Amino acid sequence: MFLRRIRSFKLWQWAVCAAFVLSIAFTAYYSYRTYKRAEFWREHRDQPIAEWMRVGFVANSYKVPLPELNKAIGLPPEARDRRPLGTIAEDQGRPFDELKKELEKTISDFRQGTIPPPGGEPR
Amino acid sequence: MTDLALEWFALYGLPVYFVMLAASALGIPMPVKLLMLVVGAFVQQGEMGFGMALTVGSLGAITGDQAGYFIGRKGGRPAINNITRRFGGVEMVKKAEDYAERWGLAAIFFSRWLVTPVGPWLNLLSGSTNFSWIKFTAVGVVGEVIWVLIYLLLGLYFSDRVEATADLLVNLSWVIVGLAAVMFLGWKIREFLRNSSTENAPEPSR
Repeated sequence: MFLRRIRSFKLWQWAVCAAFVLSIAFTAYYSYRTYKRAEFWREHRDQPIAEWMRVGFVANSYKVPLPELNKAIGLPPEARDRRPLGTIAEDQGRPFDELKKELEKTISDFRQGTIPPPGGEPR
Repeated sequence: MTDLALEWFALYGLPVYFVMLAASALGIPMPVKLLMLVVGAFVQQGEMGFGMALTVGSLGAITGDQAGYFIGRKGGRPAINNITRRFGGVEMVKKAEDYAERWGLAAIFFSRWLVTPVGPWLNLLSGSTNFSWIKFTAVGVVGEVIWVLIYLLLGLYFSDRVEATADLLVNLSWVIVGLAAVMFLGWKIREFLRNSSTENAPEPSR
C-alpha cells in the first residue's frame, strides 16, 4: 500500500523527497560539526590576540589586570585606551606581532605567578 | 574580512555596527554574530551602554529588512508581472501570494532571530509578493529586537569567549535551518502520501 503510494509520485514530488534526504544529511553534518567545534573550544579556551581587540578586551578575555597589559605595551597603567591593538602598534611605529608577543609574555608571566595579582602576593 | 570588520568597529564604533547589521539583513555576508557578541562584551566592560547597543543594532537590522522589502517590491513585482504577461502562470503567482499571506507572518518572525540565514530572501520575497508592509514591519521589528537582545546578552555573559561562542552559534544556526527544512519537507511528503491515498481510494459517486 505504502509502496504503491510512493510509486505513484510525480517527478517533482520525488525532487521533494530528495531534498528531504539532503536536508537530513545537511543537519547531521552541521550537528557533528557543532559538536567537534565545541570539543575544540573546550580545549582552546584562549582566543588568539587579534589586531581588532582593545587592551581592555584582552585583559577581560585572559583575566589579566589591565594595568599590567598597559605597562607591557608602553601605555600609562591606568589608561582606558579605546584604540584597537593594530592601531596602537601602528601609532607606536612597530609591527603588530611585536606588540602581541609582549602581551602574550605578560599573560604567561601573570599566569605563572611571576606578576602578582592586584592587591595580593605572587601565586 | 572578519578581522577587518571588527577593527573598523573597534575604531569607529556604533556607525559601523549599524551599517554591518543593515548590510547583513540585505544578504551581504558579514560577521554580524561575532560582532554582536563583541558589542555585548564591550558593554560588559563598560565601553558602551546596553540600551544604545540594543537600539542601534535593532535599527540597523530593521533598516536592512526594509531596504530588502522595497527592493523586492520595486524590482521583483514588475519582473513577476512581466513573466506572467509573457509566459502565463498568474494562477501560480496567486497561489504563492496566498501561501505567503497565510504563513508569511510566522516565517518572517522566526527568520529574524531563529532561522536567520533565510531572512534576506524572505525580505525580497515579501516585497515581491506584495505582502502587507504593516505586518512585515510589525513582526520584523519584534523579531530583530529579540535577535539583537539574545546576542548582546550572550556577549555580556560570554565576554571572555566571544570567538568560541560565535563559532558555535554560526554552526548551530545551520543546524536550525536544516531542522526547519527537514520538518517542512517531511510535512510536504506526508501531504503527498495522504493525497495519493485519497486519489487511489474508490469514489463511487464519480
